[in-house]
Amino acid sequence: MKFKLGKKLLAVGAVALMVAGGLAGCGTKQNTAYNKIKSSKTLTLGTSADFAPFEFPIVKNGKKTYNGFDIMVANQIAKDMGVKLKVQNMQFSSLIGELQNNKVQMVMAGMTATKQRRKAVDFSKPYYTESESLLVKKSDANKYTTKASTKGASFGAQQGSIQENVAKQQTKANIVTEGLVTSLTTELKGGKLNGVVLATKVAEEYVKKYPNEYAIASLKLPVPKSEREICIALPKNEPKLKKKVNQEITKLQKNGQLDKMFQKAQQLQEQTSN
Amino acid sequence: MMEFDFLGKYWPMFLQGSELTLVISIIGVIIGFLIGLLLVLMRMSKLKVLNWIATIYVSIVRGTPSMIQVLLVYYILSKTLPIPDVQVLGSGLDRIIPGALALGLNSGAYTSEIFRSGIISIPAGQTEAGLSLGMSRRDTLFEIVLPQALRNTLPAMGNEFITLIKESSVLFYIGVQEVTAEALGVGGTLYNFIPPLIVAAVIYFVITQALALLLNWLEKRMSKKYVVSN
Repeated sequence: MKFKLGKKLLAVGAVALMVAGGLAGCGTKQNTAYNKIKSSKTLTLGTSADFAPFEFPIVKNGKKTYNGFDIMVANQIAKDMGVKLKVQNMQFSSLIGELQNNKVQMVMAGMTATKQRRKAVDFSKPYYTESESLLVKKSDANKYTTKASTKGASFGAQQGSIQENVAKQQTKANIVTEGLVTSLTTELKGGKLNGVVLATKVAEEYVKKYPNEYAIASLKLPVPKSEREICIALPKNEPKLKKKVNQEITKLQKNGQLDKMFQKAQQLQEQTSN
Repeated sequence: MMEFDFLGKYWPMFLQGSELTLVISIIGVIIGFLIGLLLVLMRMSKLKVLNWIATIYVSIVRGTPSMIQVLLVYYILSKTLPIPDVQVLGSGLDRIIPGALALGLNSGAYTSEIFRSGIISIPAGQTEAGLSLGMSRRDTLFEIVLPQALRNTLPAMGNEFITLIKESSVLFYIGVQEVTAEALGVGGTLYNFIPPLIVAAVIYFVITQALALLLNWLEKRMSKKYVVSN
């Protein structure tokens, strides 16, 4: 009997190894993503479209499309390369894997270029610099002012996001992580969480939309610069694509289009959610 | 307090998401049914190897989360099988096919156990009777045991199908825009999560209830045959 069980375990192990081997076999050729964009005439952008004003779905003439700040920037890049933009929406945590498997050639999802992520993928130069804020219920607006005052509180942050690191390092609260920002803010509204660490712009949008529900705490959440800069994630070994993307960002920064796009995205979100 | 005004603007998203949920569920159920049948035949086979493979398969699938299975099937297929990313109902086929396949592979393990319980429930005397009448083992299985077993397994099978429909929401991890994904997207735009989720819940409920009614009807129809023969 023991012998039989051993064999079974061996078989299970073998299957697991095969699966792992299949996944680990990654190509190291240069410019594969760039060539794919050129040959298919399509730039596929991976995003997690539940993050207005950066990316969110809208219904236009009965059809769903994605829009927002990131989508506008991506559109400009695609236009400049002479290709079409295709937006692929998925869970935030799946995005890096998609990039590594060349299922998408670019990821824009309000993503900052952390050290951990740099190990897996490449990043463009920053196109947006964010800061972090703590969104709280209006009644708690003046409750959290210093790191010490957060002791015993429960704060939420998006799983795998930069805000998760910030929340863990800069507060003494218990940190709850979930996949979706919206689910965290719902818990905040319901009183299950005392605060949610968000990108300041996003936190401001919440306060603007629901001024009687939310407020931004005065607690400061300082973050090193490298972790505040939102970049476009690209596959590794893509010098051509990276060069193109960086050129485009420089251009949009210089002619002031980036700021305009952000305002446009905010307006669009306000229109569609009313 | 709850406002559903957004439906006026966003209903096409929910409609498309529901259609996609239905499509992947139907494909998943069919694949699951066939794999379940194959697995249970393997388990009843005289060849020990087949029996082992089926047993190990069921153990692995039952013992790992479906979300991880979906991701693994998707990444392995995307490396080995080039599926064109033709857009169907707002998602690429290169995502829908691996997704539906993963659901089917998952469901197959459970379905095979349901089949097995159905077959066990048929008294051995029936098989013996078939064999002693000179029928082959195969004929006995397919003509006598399986038709009755199938009828006995219908309630449990209905349960499994309903589970699969609900489980299909994990496909958002590989970017399939089924109805949950759409609800989350709308929630992210509104900065309000609960109303779109309620809409999605209602949609799932309607779909699963329709399926339950269908299975009820099928069950009655299949039992009628046996009542007459009594």
